[in-house]
Amino acid sequence: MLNERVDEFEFFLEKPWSDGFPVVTPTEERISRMLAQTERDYEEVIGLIPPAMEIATVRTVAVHALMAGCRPEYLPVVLGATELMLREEFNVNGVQGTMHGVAPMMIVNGPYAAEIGVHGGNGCLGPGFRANATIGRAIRLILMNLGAGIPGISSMTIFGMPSRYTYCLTENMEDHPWDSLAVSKGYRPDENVITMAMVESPRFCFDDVSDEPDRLLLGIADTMAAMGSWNMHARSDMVVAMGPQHAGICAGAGLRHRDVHRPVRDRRPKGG
Amino acid sequence: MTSTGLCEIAGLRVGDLKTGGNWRRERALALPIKVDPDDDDCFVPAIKDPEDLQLIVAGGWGPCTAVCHGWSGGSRAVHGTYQV
Repeated sequence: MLNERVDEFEFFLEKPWSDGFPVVTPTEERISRMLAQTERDYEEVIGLIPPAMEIATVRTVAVHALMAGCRPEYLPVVLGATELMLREEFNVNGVQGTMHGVAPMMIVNGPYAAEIGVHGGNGCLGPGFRANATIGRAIRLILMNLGAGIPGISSMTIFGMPSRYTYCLTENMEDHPWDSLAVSKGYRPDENVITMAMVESPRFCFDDVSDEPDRLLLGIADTMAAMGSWNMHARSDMVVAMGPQHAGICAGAGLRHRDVHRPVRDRRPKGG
Repeated sequence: MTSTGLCEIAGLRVGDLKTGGNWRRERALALPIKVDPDDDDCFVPAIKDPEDLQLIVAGGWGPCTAVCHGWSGGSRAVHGTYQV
Protein backbone atom coordinates (compact mmCIF):
# COMPACT_ATOMS: atom_id res chain seq x y z
CA MET A 1 0.00 0.00 0.00
CA LEU A 2 1.09 3.53 -0.67
CA ASN A 3 1.90 5.51 2.42
CA GLU A 4 4.25 8.21 3.52
CA ARG A 5 7.19 5.79 3.25
CA VAL A 6 6.51 4.98 -0.39
CA ASP A 7 7.14 7.38 -3.24
CA GLU A 8 4.12 6.81 -5.48
CA PHE A 9 5.99 7.67 -8.65
CA GLU A 10 8.85 5.33 -7.86
CA PHE A 11 6.34 2.62 -6.90
CA PHE A 12 4.89 2.49 -10.41
CA LEU A 13 8.26 2.81 -12.08
CA GLU A 14 9.62 -0.13 -10.11
CA LYS A 15 6.74 -2.29 -11.32
CA PRO A 16 6.43 -3.13 -15.00
CA TRP A 17 3.47 -0.75 -15.15
CA SER A 18 4.98 2.19 -16.97
CA ASP A 19 6.55 3.15 -20.26
CA GLY A 20 9.51 4.50 -18.33
CA PHE A 21 7.97 7.84 -17.50
CA PRO A 22 6.13 8.57 -14.26
CA VAL A 23 2.41 7.90 -14.40
CA VAL A 24 -0.51 9.61 -12.73
CA THR A 25 -1.41 7.57 -9.68
CA PRO A 26 -4.83 6.01 -10.35
CA THR A 27 -6.58 6.74 -7.07
CA GLU A 28 -10.22 5.78 -6.74
CA GLU A 29 -11.19 9.45 -6.67
CA ARG A 30 -9.41 10.15 -9.92
CA ILE A 31 -10.78 7.02 -11.56
CA SER A 32 -14.31 8.08 -10.60
CA ARG A 33 -13.77 11.47 -12.23
CA MET A 34 -12.51 9.77 -15.38
CA LEU A 35 -15.39 7.31 -15.52
CA ALA A 36 -17.91 10.10 -15.05
CA GLN A 37 -17.10 11.06 -18.63
CA THR A 38 -18.81 7.98 -20.03
CA GLU A 39 -22.30 6.56 -19.72
CA ARG A 40 -21.06 3.07 -20.50
CA ASP A 41 -21.15 0.28 -17.94
CA TYR A 42 -17.81 0.37 -16.17
CA GLU A 43 -17.50 -3.40 -16.32
CA GLU A 44 -18.34 -3.63 -20.03
CA VAL A 45 -15.71 -5.74 -21.73
CA ILE A 46 -13.96 -3.98 -24.59
CA GLY A 47 -11.85 -7.00 -25.51
CA LEU A 48 -8.78 -9.05 -24.70
CA ILE A 49 -5.41 -7.43 -25.26
CA PRO A 50 -2.95 -9.85 -26.87
CA PRO A 51 -0.74 -11.66 -26.30
CA ALA A 52 -1.36 -11.80 -22.52
CA MET A 53 -5.11 -11.56 -23.20
CA GLU A 54 -5.88 -9.56 -20.09
CA ILE A 55 -9.38 -8.12 -20.18
CA ALA A 56 -9.85 -4.51 -21.16
CA THR A 57 -13.00 -3.13 -19.61
CA VAL A 58 -14.27 0.42 -19.63
CA ARG A 59 -12.81 0.73 -16.14
CA THR A 60 -9.34 -0.65 -16.93
CA VAL A 61 -9.14 1.50 -20.05
CA ALA A 62 -10.08 4.51 -17.90
CA VAL A 63 -7.34 3.58 -15.41
CA HIS A 64 -4.75 3.57 -18.17
CA ALA A 65 -6.05 6.80 -19.64
CA LEU A 66 -5.66 8.32 -16.22
CA MET A 67 -2.17 6.90 -15.74
CA ALA A 68 -1.18 8.33 -19.13
CA GLY A 69 -2.28 11.80 -18.08
CA CYS A 70 -5.51 12.07 -20.06
CA ARG A 71 -8.20 14.56 -19.17
CA PRO A 72 -11.55 12.83 -18.60
CA GLU A 73 -12.90 14.13 -21.90
CA TYR A 74 -10.25 12.16 -23.76
CA LEU A 75 -11.69 8.87 -22.52
CA PRO A 76 -14.16 8.36 -25.41
CA VAL A 77 -11.27 8.51 -27.87
CA VAL A 78 -9.18 6.04 -25.87
CA LEU A 79 -12.15 3.67 -25.59
CA GLY A 80 -12.87 3.98 -29.30
CA ALA A 81 -9.25 3.35 -30.23
CA THR A 82 -9.00 0.34 -27.94
CA GLU A 83 -12.03 -1.25 -29.60
CA LEU A 84 -10.76 -0.39 -33.06
CA MET A 85 -7.28 -1.81 -32.62
CA LEU A 86 -8.70 -5.18 -31.59
CA ARG A 87 -10.21 -5.78 -35.01
CA GLU A 88 -8.73 -8.93 -36.45
CA GLU A 89 -7.42 -7.29 -39.62
CA PHE A 90 -5.32 -4.88 -37.57
CA ASN A 91 -3.33 -7.83 -36.20
CA VAL A 92 -2.25 -6.17 -32.98
CA ASN A 93 -1.10 -9.56 -31.71
CA GLY A 94 1.46 -9.80 -34.48
CA VAL A 95 2.75 -6.29 -33.87
CA GLN A 96 3.08 -6.92 -30.14
CA GLY A 97 5.64 -9.63 -30.81
CA THR A 98 7.35 -8.49 -34.00
CA MET A 99 11.04 -7.68 -34.41
CA HIS A 100 9.90 -4.59 -36.30
CA GLY A 101 9.09 -1.40 -34.44
CA VAL A 102 5.84 -0.11 -35.89
CA ALA A 103 3.25 1.57 -33.71
CA PRO A 104 -0.46 2.24 -34.10
CA MET A 105 -0.79 5.74 -35.48
CA MET A 106 -4.15 7.25 -34.55
CA ILE A 107 -5.66 9.82 -36.88
CA VAL A 108 -8.63 11.34 -35.08
CA ASN A 109 -11.08 13.11 -37.37
CA GLY A 110 -14.31 14.92 -36.64
CA PRO A 111 -15.61 17.69 -34.40
CA TYR A 112 -14.83 16.00 -31.08
CA ALA A 113 -11.11 15.92 -31.89
CA ALA A 114 -11.18 19.69 -32.30
CA GLU A 115 -13.27 20.12 -29.16
CA ILE A 116 -10.80 18.31 -26.92
CA GLY A 117 -7.73 19.81 -28.53
CA VAL A 118 -6.22 17.02 -30.58
CA HIS A 119 -3.62 18.89 -32.57
CA GLY A 120 -2.96 18.61 -36.31
CA GLY A 121 -0.89 21.68 -37.01
CA ASN A 122 2.64 22.90 -36.32
CA GLY A 123 4.59 20.20 -34.47
CA CYS A 124 1.68 17.78 -34.24
CA LEU A 125 3.84 14.64 -34.11
CA GLY A 126 6.09 16.05 -31.44
CA PRO A 127 5.86 17.13 -27.81
CA GLY A 128 3.75 19.90 -26.40
CA PHE A 129 0.16 18.83 -26.98
CA ARG A 130 -1.56 17.08 -24.12
CA ALA A 131 -4.28 15.30 -26.07
CA ASN A 132 -1.83 13.93 -28.64
CA ALA A 133 0.68 12.98 -25.97
CA THR A 134 -1.63 11.28 -23.54
CA ILE A 135 -4.23 9.59 -25.77
CA GLY A 136 -1.50 7.79 -27.67
CA ARG A 137 0.33 7.04 -24.44
CA ALA A 138 -2.81 5.48 -22.97
CA ILE A 139 -2.93 3.05 -25.88
CA ARG A 140 0.74 2.16 -25.33
CA LEU A 141 0.20 1.57 -21.60
CA ILE A 142 -2.76 -0.69 -22.42
CA LEU A 143 -0.61 -2.65 -24.88
CA MET A 144 2.12 -3.01 -22.25
CA ASN A 145 0.13 -3.56 -19.06
CA LEU A 146 -2.82 -5.58 -20.34
CA GLY A 147 -1.13 -7.09 -23.37
CA ALA A 148 2.40 -7.59 -21.99
CA GLY A 149 3.90 -6.02 -25.09
CA ILE A 150 7.10 -5.43 -23.19
CA PRO A 151 10.54 -5.73 -24.80
CA GLY A 152 12.23 -8.87 -23.60
CA ILE A 153 8.95 -10.36 -22.41
CA SER A 154 6.78 -10.78 -25.48
CA SER A 155 7.99 -7.99 -27.73
CA MET A 156 10.97 -8.92 -29.87
CA THR A 157 11.30 -5.45 -31.36
CA ILE A 158 14.89 -4.75 -32.35
CA PHE A 159 14.88 -1.01 -31.77
CA GLY A 160 11.40 -0.01 -30.72
CA MET A 161 10.61 3.49 -31.87
CA PRO A 162 9.95 6.93 -30.33
CA SER A 163 6.43 6.71 -31.76
CA ARG A 164 5.79 3.81 -29.41
CA TYR A 165 5.41 6.34 -26.61
CA THR A 166 2.55 8.06 -28.40
CA TYR A 167 1.36 8.36 -32.00
CA CYS A 168 -1.80 10.44 -32.17
CA LEU A 169 -2.80 13.43 -34.25
CA THR A 170 -5.62 14.94 -36.21
CA GLU A 171 -5.49 16.62 -39.60
CA ASN A 172 -4.85 20.32 -40.07
CA MET A 173 -8.36 21.21 -41.13
CA GLU A 174 -7.69 24.96 -41.00
CA ASP A 175 -5.18 24.72 -43.83
CA HIS A 176 -6.58 21.64 -45.53
CA PRO A 177 -7.40 22.04 -49.21
CA TRP A 178 -9.49 18.87 -49.35
CA ASP A 179 -11.90 16.86 -47.26
CA SER A 180 -10.53 14.90 -44.33
CA LEU A 181 -9.32 11.32 -44.55
CA ALA A 182 -12.52 10.16 -42.84
CA VAL A 183 -14.69 11.90 -45.43
CA SER A 184 -12.59 10.37 -48.19
CA LYS A 185 -13.47 7.00 -46.66
CA GLY A 186 -17.19 7.75 -46.83
CA TYR A 187 -17.90 9.17 -43.37
CA ARG A 188 -19.81 12.42 -42.87
CA PRO A 189 -17.84 15.50 -41.77
CA ASP A 190 -19.80 15.61 -38.51
CA GLU A 191 -18.93 12.03 -37.57
CA ASN A 192 -16.19 11.33 -35.05
CA VAL A 193 -13.87 8.84 -36.67
CA ILE A 194 -10.56 7.21 -35.75
CA THR A 195 -8.20 5.69 -38.28
CA MET A 196 -5.41 3.46 -37.01
CA ALA A 197 -2.50 2.26 -39.10
CA MET A 198 0.57 0.29 -38.01
CA VAL A 199 3.41 2.37 -39.32
CA GLU A 200 6.96 3.47 -38.65
CA SER A 201 7.99 6.90 -37.45
CA PRO A 202 7.92 9.47 -40.24
CA ARG A 203 10.59 9.87 -42.85
CA PHE A 204 10.47 13.43 -44.11
CA CYS A 205 10.41 14.51 -47.71
CA PHE A 206 11.62 18.08 -47.52
CA ASP A 207 11.13 19.90 -50.82
CA ASP A 208 11.32 23.68 -51.01
CA VAL A 209 12.04 23.66 -54.72
CA SER A 210 9.05 22.07 -56.41
CA ASP A 211 6.24 24.45 -57.19
CA GLU A 212 4.13 22.15 -59.32
CA PRO A 213 2.69 18.72 -58.56
CA ASP A 214 4.58 16.48 -60.98
CA ARG A 215 7.98 17.30 -59.55
CA LEU A 216 6.70 17.45 -55.97
CA LEU A 217 4.94 14.08 -56.08
CA LEU A 218 7.96 12.42 -57.68
CA GLY A 219 10.06 13.30 -54.65
CA ILE A 220 7.39 12.09 -52.25
CA ALA A 221 6.99 8.90 -54.27
CA ASP A 222 10.74 8.28 -54.06
CA THR A 223 10.54 8.54 -50.26
CA MET A 224 7.62 6.09 -50.30
CA ALA A 225 9.62 3.57 -52.33
CA ALA A 226 12.63 3.21 -50.01
CA MET A 227 14.32 -0.10 -50.78
CA GLY A 228 14.66 -0.97 -47.09
CA SER A 229 11.00 -0.42 -46.31
CA TRP A 230 8.61 -3.34 -46.12
CA ASN A 231 6.29 -1.55 -48.50
CA MET A 232 8.53 -2.62 -51.35
CA HIS A 233 8.48 -6.30 -50.40
CA ALA A 234 5.05 -7.02 -48.94
CA ARG A 235 1.55 -5.64 -48.92
CA SER A 236 1.78 -3.03 -46.23
CA ASP A 237 0.05 0.10 -45.01
CA MET A 238 1.48 3.58 -45.37
CA VAL A 239 0.52 7.01 -44.09
CA VAL A 240 1.52 10.02 -46.15
CA ALA A 241 0.95 13.26 -44.27
CA MET A 242 1.32 16.14 -46.67
CA GLY A 243 2.13 19.44 -45.09
CA PRO A 244 -0.43 22.11 -45.98
CA GLN A 245 2.08 23.83 -48.24
CA HIS A 246 2.71 20.71 -50.31
CA ALA A 247 -0.98 19.85 -50.40
CA GLY A 248 -1.68 23.42 -51.47
CA ILE A 249 0.66 23.08 -54.45
CA CYS A 250 -1.39 20.11 -55.61
CA ALA A 251 -4.75 21.70 -54.91
CA GLY A 252 -3.64 24.92 -56.57
CA ALA A 253 -3.00 22.96 -59.75
CA GLY A 254 -6.50 21.55 -59.62
CA LEU A 255 -5.71 18.18 -58.09
CA ARG A 256 -8.22 16.63 -55.74
CA HIS A 257 -7.38 14.26 -52.89
CA ARG A 258 -8.24 11.28 -55.07
CA ASP A 259 -6.05 12.56 -57.88
CA VAL A 260 -2.99 12.66 -55.62
CA HIS A 261 -3.88 9.26 -54.17
CA ARG A 262 -4.90 7.64 -57.46
CA PRO A 263 -4.86 3.85 -57.56
CA VAL A 264 -2.64 1.89 -59.87
CA ARG A 265 -4.44 1.22 -63.11
CA ASP A 266 -3.83 -1.64 -65.46
CA ARG A 267 -2.48 -3.75 -62.63
CA ARG A 268 -4.62 -6.78 -62.17
CA PRO A 269 -4.69 -8.77 -58.94
CA LYS A 270 -3.46 -12.32 -59.09
CA GLY A 271 -5.92 -14.51 -60.88
CA GLY A 272 -7.50 -11.47 -62.49
CA MET B 1 -2.27 19.06 -64.38
CA THR B 2 -0.28 16.02 -63.36
CA SER B 3 -1.07 12.72 -65.00
CA THR B 4 0.06 10.53 -62.15
CA GLY B 5 -0.87 9.94 -58.51
CA LEU B 6 1.24 8.55 -55.68
CA CYS B 7 -0.04 4.98 -56.01
CA GLU B 8 1.04 4.99 -59.64
CA ILE B 9 4.50 6.45 -59.36
CA ALA B 10 5.78 5.24 -55.98
CA GLY B 11 7.72 2.08 -56.65
CA LEU B 12 10.84 0.52 -58.10
CA ARG B 13 11.73 -1.76 -60.97
CA VAL B 14 12.48 -5.37 -60.25
CA GLY B 15 15.98 -4.81 -61.61
CA ASP B 16 16.57 -2.06 -59.04
CA LEU B 17 15.09 -4.08 -56.19
CA LYS B 18 17.47 -6.93 -56.92
CA THR B 19 20.49 -4.71 -56.26
CA GLY B 20 19.98 -4.44 -52.52
CA GLY B 21 17.63 -4.41 -49.59
CA ASN B 22 15.07 -7.05 -48.79
CA TRP B 23 14.49 -8.50 -52.24
CA ARG B 24 13.69 -12.19 -52.38
CA ARG B 25 12.23 -13.95 -55.36
CA GLU B 26 9.74 -15.84 -53.22
CA ARG B 27 8.57 -12.62 -51.61
CA ALA B 28 7.92 -11.13 -55.02
CA LEU B 29 5.94 -14.19 -56.03
CA ALA B 30 3.91 -14.01 -52.82
CA LEU B 31 2.73 -10.45 -53.45
CA PRO B 32 -1.01 -10.03 -54.02
CA ILE B 33 -0.30 -8.39 -57.38
CA LYS B 34 1.38 -9.83 -60.44
CA VAL B 35 5.12 -9.28 -60.35
CA ASP B 36 7.45 -11.10 -62.72
CA PRO B 37 10.73 -11.59 -60.84
CA ASP B 38 12.47 -12.41 -64.11
CA ASP B 39 11.48 -9.15 -65.77
CA ASP B 40 13.87 -6.43 -64.60
CA ASP B 41 11.61 -3.76 -66.05
CA CYS B 42 8.55 -4.91 -64.14
CA PHE B 43 7.35 -2.06 -61.91
CA VAL B 44 6.65 -2.95 -58.26
CA PRO B 45 4.44 -0.32 -56.58
CA ALA B 46 5.01 0.59 -52.94
CA ILE B 47 1.23 0.57 -52.48
CA LYS B 48 -0.16 -2.81 -53.48
CA ASP B 49 -3.79 -1.88 -52.81
CA PRO B 50 -5.02 1.73 -52.83
CA GLU B 51 -6.81 1.08 -49.52
CA ASP B 52 -3.40 0.74 -47.91
CA LEU B 53 -2.46 4.40 -48.44
CA GLN B 54 -3.80 6.83 -45.86
CA LEU B 55 -3.28 10.29 -47.36
CA ILE B 56 -3.76 13.11 -44.88
CA VAL B 57 -2.88 16.79 -44.52
CA ALA B 58 -1.21 17.70 -41.24
CA GLY B 59 1.59 19.71 -39.75
CA GLY B 60 2.40 23.37 -39.91
CA TRP B 61 3.33 25.62 -42.79
CA GLY B 62 6.52 24.64 -44.58
CA PRO B 63 7.73 22.57 -47.52
CA CYS B 64 7.59 19.10 -45.98
CA THR B 65 5.65 15.85 -46.23
CA ALA B 66 5.91 12.99 -43.74
CA VAL B 67 5.98 9.42 -45.04
CA CYS B 68 5.32 6.62 -42.59
CA HIS B 69 6.11 3.15 -43.92
CA GLY B 70 4.27 0.05 -42.81
CA TRP B 71 4.88 -3.38 -41.39
CA SER B 72 5.44 -6.68 -43.13
CA GLY B 73 3.25 -8.89 -41.03
CA GLY B 74 -0.17 -8.29 -42.43
CA SER B 75 -1.88 -5.44 -40.66
CA ARG B 76 -4.62 -3.55 -42.43
CA ALA B 77 -5.57 -0.02 -41.37
CA VAL B 78 -8.88 0.25 -39.55
CA HIS B 79 -11.44 3.05 -39.44
CA GLY B 80 -14.45 3.51 -37.24
CA THR B 81 -16.68 5.91 -35.36
CA TYR B 82 -16.68 6.12 -31.58
CA GLN B 83 -19.19 7.09 -28.91
CA VAL B 84 -18.90 10.60 -27.48
